[in-house]
This record gives sequence, C-alpha cells and structure tokens, in this order.
Amino acid sequence: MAWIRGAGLTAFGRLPGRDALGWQASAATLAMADAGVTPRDVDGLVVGYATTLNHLMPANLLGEYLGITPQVALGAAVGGATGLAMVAQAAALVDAGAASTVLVVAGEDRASGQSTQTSTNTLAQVGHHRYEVPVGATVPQYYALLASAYLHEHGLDPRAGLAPLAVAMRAHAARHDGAQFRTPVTVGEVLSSRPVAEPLHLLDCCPISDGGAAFVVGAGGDPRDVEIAGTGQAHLHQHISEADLHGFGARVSAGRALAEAGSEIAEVDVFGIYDSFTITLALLLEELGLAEPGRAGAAAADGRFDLDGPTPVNPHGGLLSYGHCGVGGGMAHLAEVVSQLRGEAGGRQVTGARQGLVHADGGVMSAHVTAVLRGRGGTR
Amino acid sequence: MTTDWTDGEPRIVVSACVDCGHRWYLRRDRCPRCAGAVTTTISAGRGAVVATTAGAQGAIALVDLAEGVRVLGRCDPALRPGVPAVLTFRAGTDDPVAVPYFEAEHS
Ligand SMILES: [Zn+2]
Repeated sequence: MAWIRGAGLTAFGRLPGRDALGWQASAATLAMADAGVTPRDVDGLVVGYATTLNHLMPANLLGEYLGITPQVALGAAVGGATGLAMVAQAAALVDAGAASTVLVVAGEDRASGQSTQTSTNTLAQVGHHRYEVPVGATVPQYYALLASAYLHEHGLDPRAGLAPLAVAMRAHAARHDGAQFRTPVTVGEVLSSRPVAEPLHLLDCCPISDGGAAFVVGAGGDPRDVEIAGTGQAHLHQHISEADLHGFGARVSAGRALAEAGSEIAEVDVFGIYDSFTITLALLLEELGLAEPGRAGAAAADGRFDLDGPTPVNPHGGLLSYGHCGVGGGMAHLAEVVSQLRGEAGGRQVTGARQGLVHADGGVMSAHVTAVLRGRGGTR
Repeated sequence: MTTDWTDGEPRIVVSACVDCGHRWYLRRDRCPRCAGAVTTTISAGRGAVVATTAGAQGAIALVDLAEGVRVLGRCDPALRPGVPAVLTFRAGTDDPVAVPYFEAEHS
C-alpha cells in the first residue's frame, strides 16, 4: 500500500526568475518539507520532462542539484498524463519494495522561458510527423476539432456547450491565491474573448504558465497521509485520426483505478479532472459518467461542479484558471485533492471529502491515467 | 508501399489488412490489429466532414473518406461538419509538398 506523504505546489503564472530546474527544486523542497523528509531519505526519484529544458535525463539532473542519490531514477513523458503516471509508477515502486521514499517532481518556466510560438510548435509535435504536422495543425486546433465534432453531434453552440465550464473553473480559482487567473468571468466574456481556433476562444484554453508540483510517495502512517487506493491507465491511440471519439480511454482508465480501489465513482466526494480546454473537460466528464452526453456545459451552468454541488470538480481552478506549466499542471489537480482529503483546503474545502478521483489525459485525448485517493477518515 | 502526398504524389493511400480487413491511413508495415500483411488502394477523394476549425492558423478539417479512414487536412474555411467534401491538394509557399485540402462537394 502506497501513500502520498507530502505534496508541494507552487503558485502558477507568468513568474520570471526561475528556470525549469529552479521550479522543480522549489516544488520538491515544498513536498519534502510537507512529508518531513530530507534529500538523504529519498531513494526513488521520478521527474517529468520540461519543454524548456529538453534534457535526456531529468531525474539525474534534479537529483544532482538537490543532493539526492536514489536507488531508482526515471524520467517520464506521456504528455499531460505524465504527472499521474509518475505517481502510479512511484506507488508501484513502493509496493514492489524497490524504493521506500519516492520523490515525484515536475516544473518548468513554460511561460517565461520560451516564446508562445516556440511552445506552440513544440506541443504540435504530438501530431503525426508525416501525416499531421505538415498540415500545420496546432494542439488548440486538434482540440478545436474535437469541440467541433462534439457540438455538431449534440446540436450545441459554445454558449451552452463549453463556456459554462470556463466560468466554473474561474469561480473556483478565485478562492486560491496561487492561481494565475482569479477574476470571475461570465459566459459572455468567454464567448467574446479572442478566437484561438473556432469554436474555441481564448478563455476556452488554459494559459501557459511557470510553476511546479511535487509529491513524496511512501508507506503511510501519519494522519495527514493520503492513500493511493487505486490507479489505472488506458492508452488506446496517439493520433486524432485513430481516436474513438466516443471512447478515448478515460472510462477504461477510471474503471481500472476504481476496481483496484474497490470503489465506485458514485462514492467519490471530490474530483480533479484534466481541463486543458473546455472541450477536454466536457469530454472527460461525460466519458467518466459525471455528466450526461452533451450535458457537461449545462451541468456546469447548474452548479453541479461547484464546491457545494454533487460533483465538485477542480476546486483549485484547474488548468483553465490555476494555470498550466506542463507536467506540473496535471499534478496540481492531485495536489488539490490531497489538500481536500486532508481537510486542509480552507475556504475551498469540500465538506466531508474522504475519497477523491484524479484523471489526466495527454496528447490529443491519447494517454489516460486515473488515481483514486482516500483520506485517513475514509474507510470504504 | 505505395507513395502518397507525403512523398510528393498528390493522393491519399488507404491501407487494408489482407487477413482481418481493418483499414487505416497512417503508414505502417503491418496491420496494427493482427499484424497481417497490407494492401493499398488510392482514395477516390470523397468523404464526409467530421469536424472543422478555423482561425489565424488556417482552417483544417477531419474528414471520413468513403474508403473508411479518417484524414486530417486543410480546408475551405466555410466547410462545416456533416457535409460531403471532396479532396484536392494545395501547397502554400512554405510547404515542401502539396497537402490534402477539402472543400464542399458542390462549391
Ligand atoms: Zn489485420
């Protein structure tokens, strides 16, 4: 049995002054302090890729910097799902006895360390190098295609189908002083923001941020430890032309995680769901069964994903408003759920949160990883 | 292997498995479902639009070709999901080869 013993999450935003290694070290230091461990205690180190670093050996680089000499070191890359995949791998290392104290880290200066054009070009390489990249499509355009197909299938417009999700995430972020964007927005403001790739407008898209996140995974014991009750993954395609638009992999991934946890999604109290774009969140909520097909936007408008709603989602504001620094962006959802299950979320606390589910996707809805978490109060 | 637009031949090649019949677009040596051998045909260039997007970075579309594969290409910015489309090839000034371009069937 593996537990999250420490969590570290920096503020996200356009925050010049640190490079990728600096953000990773900041987050790692926060997580180790939270767990009450030192670099000498860490015997497993798993570090996510950083686009501004582009280094072949991210775990070795950070290990040397922090004075960590682990028994196991591993760099990881499955796009936006990397953070949860690393935590799943850390739990497996602990369960197998290969390491006892695994530090999982990501961070980068994605906003201030490169131009937006460079970032866009780097991310566009998730497309097929021969059949898609030469067409010139960008990641926002791939997700815009998914949004176009979704809105067409359900007979929706962006006002009803997508914008309420951006409004809901911003309302959450207003309660977190680490969030990049905290000023509430309206549906009208989402619709009138600059078109990025129709039907997606600027406020349908996550920002590019600087920041970092880290966790210490090990055997539990402390009352603040959060149990990694189950993890699951699904990797069914890489490219959009081979994706099943009605089964990207989220259902399969979450089903595996819930089965391992011996739980059902109806027993989950708080959710962290990947939201790189409003359409990402809509598709994931619906595939996970948290909203009826075509109804994610309507559910958001009805307050279903609010703190006091039946399905609280991303109380920190998600990628859309807390921000997105790459691998660390997808780890912020987990850091928030850990805070919730510890009962330490302050003004964002979901009352009685004992079980959480975090889900991330990478690529173009390509890589899926789910984790089910349980606080010490959770006995199901 | 049959050359296609990525080699400078303005055509889309559809691959099919001789064993299980599975069809796909992205070039492979073997069937991804059963590792069977591959036969290829040239697409007639007609299909139905699944999705479109337009913006400063140009208009692109996902199109289901009649031969049973889904293809990404550039498109007429007026193209909309659900309509029939026909395939041509166009090269912009920075393109080494002409890339798939879809427009409405009756335009
Ligand atoms: Zn086959």
